[in-house]
Amino acid sequence: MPSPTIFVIDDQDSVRHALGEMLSVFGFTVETYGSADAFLQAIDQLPSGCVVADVRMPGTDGIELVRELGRRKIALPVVLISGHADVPMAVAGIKSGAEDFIEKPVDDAQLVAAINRAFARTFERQHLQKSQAAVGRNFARLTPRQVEIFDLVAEGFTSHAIAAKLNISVRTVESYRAEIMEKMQAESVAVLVRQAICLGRINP
Amino acid sequence: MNQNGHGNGWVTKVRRSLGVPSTAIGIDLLNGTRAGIFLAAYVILEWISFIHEYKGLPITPWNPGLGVVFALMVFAGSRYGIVLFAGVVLAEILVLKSKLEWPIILSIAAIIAAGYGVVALVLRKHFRIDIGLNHLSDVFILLFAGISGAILVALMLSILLLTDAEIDFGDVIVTFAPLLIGDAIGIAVMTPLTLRLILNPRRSPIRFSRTLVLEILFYVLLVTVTLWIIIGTQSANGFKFFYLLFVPVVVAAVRHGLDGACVSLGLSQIALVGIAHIHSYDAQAFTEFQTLMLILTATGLIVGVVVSERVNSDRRVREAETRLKQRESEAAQASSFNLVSGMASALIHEINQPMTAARALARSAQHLLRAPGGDLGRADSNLTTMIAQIDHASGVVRRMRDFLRRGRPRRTKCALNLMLPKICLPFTAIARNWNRWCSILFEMQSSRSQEHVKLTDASESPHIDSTRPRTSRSAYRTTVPGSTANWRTGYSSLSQHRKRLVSALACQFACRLSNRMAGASGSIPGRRAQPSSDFRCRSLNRK
Repeated sequence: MPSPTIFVIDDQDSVRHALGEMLSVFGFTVETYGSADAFLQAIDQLPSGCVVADVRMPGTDGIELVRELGRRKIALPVVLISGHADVPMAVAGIKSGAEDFIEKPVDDAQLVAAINRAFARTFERQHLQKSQAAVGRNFARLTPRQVEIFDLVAEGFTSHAIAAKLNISVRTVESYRAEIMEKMQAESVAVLVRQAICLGRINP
Repeated sequence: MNQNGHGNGWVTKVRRSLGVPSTAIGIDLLNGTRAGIFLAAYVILEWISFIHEYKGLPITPWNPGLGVVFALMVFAGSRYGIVLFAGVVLAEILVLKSKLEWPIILSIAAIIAAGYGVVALVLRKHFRIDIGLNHLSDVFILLFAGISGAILVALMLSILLLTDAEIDFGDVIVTFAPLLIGDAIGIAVMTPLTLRLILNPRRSPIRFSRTLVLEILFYVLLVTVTLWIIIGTQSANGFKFFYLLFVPVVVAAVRHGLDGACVSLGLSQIALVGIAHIHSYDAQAFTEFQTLMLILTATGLIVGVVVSERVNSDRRVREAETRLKQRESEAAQASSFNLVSGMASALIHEINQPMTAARALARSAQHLLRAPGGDLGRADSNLTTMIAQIDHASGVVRRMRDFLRRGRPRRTKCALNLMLPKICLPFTAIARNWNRWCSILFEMQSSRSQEHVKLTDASESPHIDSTRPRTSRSAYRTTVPGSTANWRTGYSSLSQHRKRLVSALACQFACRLSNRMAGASGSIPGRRAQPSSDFRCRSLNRK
């Protein structure tokens, strides 16, 4: 997995370069942009990461950038920084969906903490997506009869109840269950139930 | 002091009298006392004004008691018609020693009280009259109400007496006119006077002073003399001189507004009655005089109220101007605050940016230095950039300071004889404006001993102190002429010698108006000079 990139966007060269230098010294991969518009133009070719953007910029400003990313359904966390921070601006930033709002001069510990928090959330989301995809693949391998029994197991019916319901022997049910558990890579009924919830087969 | 004030007072008064838990007739102790005072006043005034009766009817062509009680009814409500009722009954018994029968006396009183009660009610409820009589319309309404009330009451009384067969039709014609005129003049003269000066004395803008007393005495004299000419000489041409009475009334009305008119009309009326009394004037001629007096009253009241209205509107305009000026200065303050806040915001931004960069660079350099085997060259370059950023921030601060410093005066040498005209300028303008001489005290102060101020010319300047080493202060007193319109006359009294001595001088120079311009009356020049009376010039040669 490539290391995540931090995109520093500030219209003032000195600030942009200094922040970029600091973050790269701290070990992050950093790309800098002079304006939000330049960043948005290049966004399709960019790897995943986290944006650190000034609020007041000519052209698209920081808050507008967060909104634009939301509109394009791009899951990039944004940390806003501003020298004229006031309460309405901070509220507008957070409401638009920014990860955090930090005042200039930027406290590096605060900035790094915000970036790490944003990354952690991204990783979590990616992991969830990945596991969801795997469960879906496994589920697709089940036969229609197995799906029927999967649903009943997930709903909490015992083997006896399922046998009575489907008018088959308990032993048959047991063997179906074993096959399902194997195909779904579920160690227990509890895991199976969670997978069923994840797939939307039952309501939590 | 204005109409609103009157209006409010009127409303509270009405509410108070209405809101009192009713006793037998709904009048509490305070109102009762007032009613008693007015009742006594009515009876006394009836006694004073009584000249003669005609078959039991008080046909005195001047009825001041009615005017006073009517004022109370207009002021506090028609319920005070009861005072008028009681007053008429008492006057019939005590003053007129009436030989009429009780039912007739009570009917007369009831008719008078009810008639004027209705008029007062209509005035209060329908016309909503302002009891301060601050507008021309109020005076017109009051005069109209007085005359129509008098007609109403006179008609009803005549009908009553005709039905009683006490008086025949011929008598009615004889009594009707004096009754009518008497009531109308009573209301026209006494009601405004009572409303303005007795029922709300606080509203009166007249302040008593020695000049005012003298003025009133002058009016009294003038009125008496005029009336003496008209009546006292007993000549047939007396009427011709009646117009002379307009002079004091109109002068008082113009000088003091409605209050002046009320007082002078009261004086004229009392004098007229008094002189007619002394000379036992015949009733018909007196009635004719009263008719003229009614016209005089209307004229005086109208002139008075117009003057009062104008004075009030002038004051309101002045108040509005003051308020406007206050708002303007507040707006100026707000805008300067806005400017300062904008500048502060810009300044913060300008300093924040390099600080942000410098902090980030410092942290990265620190990180590089702490890490084992860190890239020292990179740390060095970061530190170099950081220094540049800090220099940038300090440059912003320095430029700001330079900008602010530009407003301050620069101290250089200059010739005092070029400075003095400019310093004297505001005072010269004041002096010229008031056509007076004003005296100016020059004070010079130097912080360094070698620039010691030398205004040492004993012959011309008594206020010299050249002995203090560190801060010396020298004073020179001169006068600025106003009437000659040339300040240089005053300035030229500085000798050439002194001008040369003080020409190389760097000092703080202050001058102020050391006295009120001699001969100018008290407050005005002082007030005029106040804003510019302390003129300070820290620079002798501003560039």
